[in-house]
Amino acid sequence: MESLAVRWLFPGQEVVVESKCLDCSGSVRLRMRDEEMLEIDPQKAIGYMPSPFAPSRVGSAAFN
Amino acid sequence: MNLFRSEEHLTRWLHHWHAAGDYVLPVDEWAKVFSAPTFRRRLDLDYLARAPEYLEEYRRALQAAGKALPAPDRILSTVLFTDIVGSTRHAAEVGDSEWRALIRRHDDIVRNQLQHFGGREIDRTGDGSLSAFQSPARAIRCAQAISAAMHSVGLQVRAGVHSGEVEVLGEHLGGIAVHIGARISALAGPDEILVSQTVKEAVIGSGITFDDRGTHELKGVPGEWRLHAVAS
Repeated sequence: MESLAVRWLFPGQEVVVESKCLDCSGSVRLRMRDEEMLEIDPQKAIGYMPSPFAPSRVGSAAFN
Repeated sequence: MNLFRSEEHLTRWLHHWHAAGDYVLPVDEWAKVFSAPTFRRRLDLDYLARAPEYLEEYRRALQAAGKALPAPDRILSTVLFTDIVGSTRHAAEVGDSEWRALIRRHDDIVRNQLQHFGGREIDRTGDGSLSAFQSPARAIRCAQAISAAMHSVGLQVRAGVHSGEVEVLGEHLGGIAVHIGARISALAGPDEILVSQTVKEAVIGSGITFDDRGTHELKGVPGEWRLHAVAS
């Protein structure tokens, strides 16, 4: 389950994801409710995702 | 998805595995991608069964975020859909336990015939099956054999066959040709095998004969489609 998709499992409720930067272990905090991103801290946070469409991964568990 | 405090942190992360086609986006852009319908439906009971179809929505959401995507593999294939006729009524008559046993025998029959005719099982679809063949004539002969064998367990099936380009999504198939096959199957009667005009023309010379079933609209598919029932 992708962290940014978890909000759809809790309709109408505030969902908080407390994560860590893979590089420095610093905090990355996301707060969201349905459509709204209530907080992205730090603002410059980025997400990196291996593509489920890369030929070697099509049909693998990467998408699920 | 892996999170980083900024793009500089990602660059510094020396051990990350980066394959062609991997994606980097700001978190707020990812939030839009993960607002695609596919992610909103994860509480739906049929989510897993429909995941291959939702994958296309995910692909479009990534495209909307400006990410170039590799084109899916497309191959020419023949799809065969079968479906048990009157399954709900039948299940109510025999009870859950007997129905489960019947479904197992149904599945055995389908798999045996697929093996015999060189078909590949793609999916179970409710009380039916989706399989793929390299040859439309083999798909028709397989459908005939499945239909005849089902009588031995007191079941009747309807079947639909269509040939066209399909998208290969891992072990699954997608694309409009698959939807057309499903729609054709839904129009077939008990013990009937309906095929598209494409299939009829492709098997000329095979000895398979057809009865014209006229033109039909297939829900969600543009145009009118001439369908044929396999006669022999």
